[in-house]
Amino acid sequence: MYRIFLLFTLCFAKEEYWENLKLDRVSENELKAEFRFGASRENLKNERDFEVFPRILDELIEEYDVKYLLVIMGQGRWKDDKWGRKTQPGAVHGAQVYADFEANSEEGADKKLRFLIEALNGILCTSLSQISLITSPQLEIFKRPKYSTSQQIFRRYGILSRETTCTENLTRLRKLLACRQSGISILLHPSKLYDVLYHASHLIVKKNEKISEMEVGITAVFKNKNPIQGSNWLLSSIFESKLSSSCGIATKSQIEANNQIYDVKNLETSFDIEITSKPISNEAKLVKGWTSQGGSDQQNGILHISLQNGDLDSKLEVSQILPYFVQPRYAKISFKNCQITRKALQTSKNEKSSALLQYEIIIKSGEKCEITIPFDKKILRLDDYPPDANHGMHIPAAVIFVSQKSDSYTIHTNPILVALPVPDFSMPFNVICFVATAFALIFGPLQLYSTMWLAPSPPRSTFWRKINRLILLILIVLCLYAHFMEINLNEVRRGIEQYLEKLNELR
Amino acid sequence: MRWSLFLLFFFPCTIVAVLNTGLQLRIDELFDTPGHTNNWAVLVDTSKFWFNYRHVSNVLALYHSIKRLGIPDSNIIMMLAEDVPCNPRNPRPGTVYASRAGSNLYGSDVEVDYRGEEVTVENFIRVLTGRHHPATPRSKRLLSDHQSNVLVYLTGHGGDSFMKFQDTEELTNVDLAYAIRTMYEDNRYHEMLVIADSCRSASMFEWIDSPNVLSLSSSLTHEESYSYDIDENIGVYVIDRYTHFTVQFLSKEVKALNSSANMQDYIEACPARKCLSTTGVRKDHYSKDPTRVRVTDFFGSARIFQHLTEEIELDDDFWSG
Repeated sequence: MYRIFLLFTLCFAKEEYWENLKLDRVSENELKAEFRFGASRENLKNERDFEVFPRILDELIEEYDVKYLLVIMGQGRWKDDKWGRKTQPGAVHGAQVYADFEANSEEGADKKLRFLIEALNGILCTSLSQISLITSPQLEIFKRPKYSTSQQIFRRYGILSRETTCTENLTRLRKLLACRQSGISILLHPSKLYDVLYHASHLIVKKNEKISEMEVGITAVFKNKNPIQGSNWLLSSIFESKLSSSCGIATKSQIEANNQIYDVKNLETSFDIEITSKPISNEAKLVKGWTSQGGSDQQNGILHISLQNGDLDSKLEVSQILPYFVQPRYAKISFKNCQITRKALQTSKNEKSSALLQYEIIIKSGEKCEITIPFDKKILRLDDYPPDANHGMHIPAAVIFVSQKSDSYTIHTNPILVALPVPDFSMPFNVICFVATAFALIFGPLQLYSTMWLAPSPPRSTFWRKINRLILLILIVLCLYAHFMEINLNEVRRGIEQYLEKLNELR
Repeated sequence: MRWSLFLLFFFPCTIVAVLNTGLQLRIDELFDTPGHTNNWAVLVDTSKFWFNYRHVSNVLALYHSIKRLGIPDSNIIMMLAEDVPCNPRNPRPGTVYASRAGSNLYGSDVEVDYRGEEVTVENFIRVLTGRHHPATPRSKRLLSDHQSNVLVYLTGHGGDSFMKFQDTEELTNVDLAYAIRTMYEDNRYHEMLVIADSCRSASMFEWIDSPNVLSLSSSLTHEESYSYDIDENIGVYVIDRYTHFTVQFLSKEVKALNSSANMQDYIEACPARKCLSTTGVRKDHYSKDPTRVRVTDFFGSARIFQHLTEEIELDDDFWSG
């Protein structure tokens, strides 16, 4: 018996699955829920049996030599003042992709990543194909593990601000979990999770020599709809479903709430709690950042990035992606109260690639620093405009990696919607039409009568001329008829076709 | 006593079974033998913006019907041009309702393959013709073969001879006809059903000349199509008439895969007094009689197996490839 057991442990790669839900009241009427689901798997060669680790992610890791992959989708705005520090990895409106992977060359890495992004679209139901990626950012963007490998590691990062996140993404993330119908994942009810102030979801895939790991996280900030009645933060009322069955295969399955940890691994009856703890007071001031837009015309604009430090001295690594449709004026970038220790600029390499500005800033406690980036807006080709061109296009949020004495985290500013110069041909068209018509009407007779020699002449109308005039008259009448009856060309064509068909039948 | 009890149970059961089998055989006589083995569907909502809510719910209503009749998510390519469920204007986030008293169509079982700005004429034609970038994932491809029945459903705003995509592009009826011709030449379908639900939609199938294509539309070329129901809470029209009545027909008359409803019933599901427009049908390129074709040949997935009678030798390439 022992031998059989030993055989089993030898055959199967060791896998683990855990789940966690953290509930905190962030203000009087707001509640934050953080879901975390994780799985890990021992890396064994030629071992293709999977128990709790999603096979598709393992295939992704193997196919694209992924070391670290992070996809974050977000919706809504995080209120730093009220809610404290953003859950890490920090999300911003839209989608972000961050990848470290092995490749042979830069070109190979670009190609590999294009395939990886498409594969992610397939796995997560996203539409990230249009994401513009930044190659090898020099400063930190996210907190990530260190790895030792002989191969060359390539790093890519990109934001797609217009990407939306909805039920279909949640469904796909849920499909990666070992416990879909039991355990904490029962609470992932889309109609509740999207009726919130802030929603973020992420997928992390990590691999080192020993183990592969994945984490699915969902964060939502709920608002109490009836503040007069008082807050009723009952688990079953927040998520619209009770925690009725437990996830048996999980090594850890717990809910953190009311400063306690509830183990929900072995549930006998359905589980429900009320979150009664007082809102956490955010006395420690954190680093804040926001972006605003200046400029008044359609050709150029100004991007202001404001950074406000909290209580501790910090080192900030600011990364701002500027997409291809804005052209920064590098010489005119200015700083106010910023002590810059390092700069890394990456201009856009071709017509469609983005530029990246990175600054390392040392900032004392309580100080404020401002970066001003003037830019020109490009006039794009007609095909490059999005379907709703007058809506504008997004400049992604700046990513700020904050490192303090004993701590480091990522915050974001907000994305900026830039109104692009959209050529409108309808007005010039109207003017040209109008002027040309007036010109024809006025100039024609004027020219005619000013140059004509008036002399009486006998009528010389022949038979053919009459026929010609009749045809012209019929054409004009037909045109006017078509115009007033709103007949279009297709209908005329159909009429002629039918007529010809009838002629054919007669023969 | 025991025997009589046994007979009491066994006899009626046998009779019912015999009658059922007989009935099924008789029903089978009414229909032509289907020549397909698998079913595929391409459902496209072409219009952007919140007020085109009804086009999204059209697609979703049909999606749930065909999924109920057995076409799996992997065989359905769904294109939604607007993110309606998580639109900031949606009073009930994460949901889509096709009627006031209906159920949520956007539950956690929905898989959207192309969404937002990915819904372009180029991508639609790529899906039909199967000419993709090599990186395109499997879920975004129409992997049909010469034994597939393909359902193509288009909804949005259209005009005479075109369908508007995203307010910028147009899919003309000539484009559609060429794409279908390419599919025919590449052996990508066995039979095809094209449904266009838009204003003046009969013009969409004017140029289709490939064999075995049955085309339906919500209105004739000179007619408009109309929407059905408004939801005051959502503030917009929630479904179009044609889709509403045809989906209602599917849910009432086609309860399961063995349903005996035929395509002619489907065509007549939305008469002019209900639709307020005359539905268009084009069957001159369709060799079968619609009354002898089951609705489930296109809207369901029966997994019909065909066995070979001759011997086939598989060479080494088959196993290595």
